[in-house]
Amino acid sequence: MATFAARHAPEHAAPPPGEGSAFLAVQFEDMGTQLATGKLGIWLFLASEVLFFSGLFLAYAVYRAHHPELFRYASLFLDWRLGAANTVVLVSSSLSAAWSVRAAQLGDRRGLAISLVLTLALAATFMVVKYFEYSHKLHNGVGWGAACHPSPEILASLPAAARALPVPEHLGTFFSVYYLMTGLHGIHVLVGMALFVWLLARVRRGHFGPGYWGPVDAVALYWHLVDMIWIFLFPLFYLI
Amino acid sequence: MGPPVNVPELRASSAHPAPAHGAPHVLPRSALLGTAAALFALTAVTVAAARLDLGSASVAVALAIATVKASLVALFFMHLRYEHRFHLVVLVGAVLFAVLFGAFVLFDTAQYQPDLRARETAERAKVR
Amino acid sequence: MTSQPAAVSPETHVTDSYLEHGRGVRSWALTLDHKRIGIMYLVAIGAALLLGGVFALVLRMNLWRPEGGLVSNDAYNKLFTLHGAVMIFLFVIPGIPAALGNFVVPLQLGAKDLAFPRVNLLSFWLFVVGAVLFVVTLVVGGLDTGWTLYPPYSLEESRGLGILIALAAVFLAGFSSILTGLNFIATIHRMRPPGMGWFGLPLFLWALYATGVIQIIATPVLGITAAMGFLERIFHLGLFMPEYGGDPVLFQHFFWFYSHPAVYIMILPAMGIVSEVVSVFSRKPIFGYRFIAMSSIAIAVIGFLVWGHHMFVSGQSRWASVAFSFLTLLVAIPSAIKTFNWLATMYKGAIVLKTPMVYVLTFFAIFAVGGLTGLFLGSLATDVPLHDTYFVVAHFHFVMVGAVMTAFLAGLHYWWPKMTGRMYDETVGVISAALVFLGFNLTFVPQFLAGTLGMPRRYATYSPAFVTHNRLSTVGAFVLAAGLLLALAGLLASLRRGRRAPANPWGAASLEWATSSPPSHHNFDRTPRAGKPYDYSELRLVSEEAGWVRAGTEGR
Repeated sequence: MATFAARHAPEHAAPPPGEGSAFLAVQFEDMGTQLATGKLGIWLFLASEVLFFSGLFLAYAVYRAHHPELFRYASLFLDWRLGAANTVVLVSSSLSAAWSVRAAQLGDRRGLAISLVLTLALAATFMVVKYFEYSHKLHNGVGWGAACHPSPEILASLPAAARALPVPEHLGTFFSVYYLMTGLHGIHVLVGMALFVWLLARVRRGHFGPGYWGPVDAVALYWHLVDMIWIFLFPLFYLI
Repeated sequence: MGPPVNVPELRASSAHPAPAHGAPHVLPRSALLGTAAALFALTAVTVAAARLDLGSASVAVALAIATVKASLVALFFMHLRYEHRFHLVVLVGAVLFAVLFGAFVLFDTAQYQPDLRARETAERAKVR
Repeated sequence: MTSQPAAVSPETHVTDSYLEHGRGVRSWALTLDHKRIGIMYLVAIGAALLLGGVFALVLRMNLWRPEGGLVSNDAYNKLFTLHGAVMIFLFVIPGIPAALGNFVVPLQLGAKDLAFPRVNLLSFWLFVVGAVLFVVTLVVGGLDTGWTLYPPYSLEESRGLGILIALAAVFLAGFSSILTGLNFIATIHRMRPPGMGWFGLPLFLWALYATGVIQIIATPVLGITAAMGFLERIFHLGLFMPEYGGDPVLFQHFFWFYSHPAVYIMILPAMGIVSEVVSVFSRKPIFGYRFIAMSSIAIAVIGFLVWGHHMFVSGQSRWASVAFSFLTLLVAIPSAIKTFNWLATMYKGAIVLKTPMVYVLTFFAIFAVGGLTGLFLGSLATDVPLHDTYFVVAHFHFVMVGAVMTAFLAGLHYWWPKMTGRMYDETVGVISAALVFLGFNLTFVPQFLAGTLGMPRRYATYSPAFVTHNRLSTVGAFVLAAGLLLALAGLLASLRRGRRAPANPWGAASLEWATSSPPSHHNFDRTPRAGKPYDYSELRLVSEEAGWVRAGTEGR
């Protein structure tokens, strides 16, 4: 099967007719059906991801509903500035991911590569910030469940109003939910990064263009969902 | 892998009203940048709102702003505004089922949690 | 120009069948052909049925005596746990969609394959790994929590490794199920042939579409529950374990949010098969097509609103229980609609008592009882004394075994000629169906009675008052096993000795019968144009050997 790059001279800006048909899978009548079906497939997968995370959001809701003052107190252990920065990082990465789809559709190979690299870099930035957040907490004894024993240093860093209060008994419950939710989200970021690396490898081989950009779209849609989940995690843990 | 079926009269069909080949919807630059700008702005808004003392409304306000942000991502970045309505049905349907799940469980735990707390308090009193 | 499905010569010997296209283990293990994946699933699911069945027979033998003694009480607990887990996760849930649906769905759509063949293969291997993990739990000391894995008991330190392996197995098997549902929905939604609108779909496809919706929405919640349980056990997160501040009833909510809709994942495909078979073997179009199609969607949706009926005595609040009880009674309505439509299909039809139809007739009787006994359990007041008794055990075996497994056997015999190119022996088929029906009722009817008299479930020993019930049940279990083994033997024998099957041995009108038996690698030479799936008016029987053809094509 000839590669995209071999069949079509890379310097042509406009796609020749039938371009992209090298990637037409045998079960589909035409690329239009393949694209539409692929989109439906990724949306169905995203629906399953929504339900997957919904269990954790519900655990958050149940425990917050019955320990509201615990959640308000515990959120002070999280630095809202880092959370806000990560939100800006992820929103920007969604922008670059959406840009990459546009670039693929228009045959802008350079733009496609740049936007994918940018998305990858922003995702990596997100994980670096996350690493610092986690390591700071874990070094100061702020673990999950029964292993949550905040050190005097980290307690001293809380706002004055919080310092005056005794450490709540079930502080570990908040942090169990925190690590579980942000951890699972982080795993999804890592998977997304791997997918972007895969896309970049295919871009190098010249696979994508106006006749075939389904995989770029699919990974971008996944990435937007990862962004949407963080859009909820940020205020729920850092702000309220 | 056999050769693809290429029978022209079979391509157009009510079974798959796919976008016409060669003319996918491309998101305009203005929509991309406008959406991003709105998302940054709303991030600032939600941070600011958290600094205000809204009491028990703070959760609802935070969730409302987050929902608006998520809707912008879905409608624009994810093309839902321009595509087959069925994709929107899939997303909204998933969210609705999740909300249903949450509503029933929160309703139930709200009913029995007070009994658990009362028992916990009583047991602690006994120990002392 | 009249629209007719592609004419198929009645000649029965196929030269490039999918079975011969590529040889060797690798060509099967890495196949993207939905037909081969379906066959592999059939073998794996059959193995799961055998394993779960062996556990069942050991349980029933232990229950011969009130004081037990065949195995230790601890071993008994491990056996019923694994019997439940293997049967539910590895047989009943995947069974019809994976083993039969994978094979049939693209054929009924006139398509060359499912939408996502590689996802299909991934789905299969995830299933296999999950299945292996369940078996591994046996080796590491087993699991005695019941298939429902409730904490706090299941997540205590002294449970050993079995729970962690089981939770991992559940997670992987669940992911397999999600991917199957995703594949079916995308395929049915976007890959219909020209002329096949939504109300031109065979009802089996409506059933699998509705099933796919449940698989996608419900199964992820099981996945996250398994992950949370896994992490709770290792890290003491305090989500489900009271000693760390958690709520065990929360686990039950999470677990049953999936596990109740899961029973509709089991029954909807079975109902789809019944719709196909009852129409073909009554030689009449299905009665109330739209009602049956819509009721599948209704069952899928309402099925999400009732999970609390498993939790009436768990500590769930009274108001929640009342709400769930009321909603549970609603879900009976669409099932009843289907049943009346099926019976109306048979009315004044020309009934053909071949094996698939015999199984379907037994399905009607058993499903009616199974469904009606669900009403006793769904009603709050009557459930309280019946909860955790053998009444519950009998109810769910009536629907899961008596209805789902029976429909699976109906479908297996119905599509066997298409899948293998061979006709099974009808006499053996009908005798095994009769044995299965007899054995099934002998096994489970006494359990209804024992349950109403108070015999608890999951007990290795019991009061001597229940001896007769248990012994009848044990005998019945062996008769059921004999019927199943006979059915298996008959099907396997047909591979060597069965008459070669024509393209359309039953005179059905859906598209899978418009291609050879077995199909070639790419299913159809050209995409067929869809006709009406239940219109038999143009089909003529040439001979038993040549099967049925469309009028006007006999000469070709």
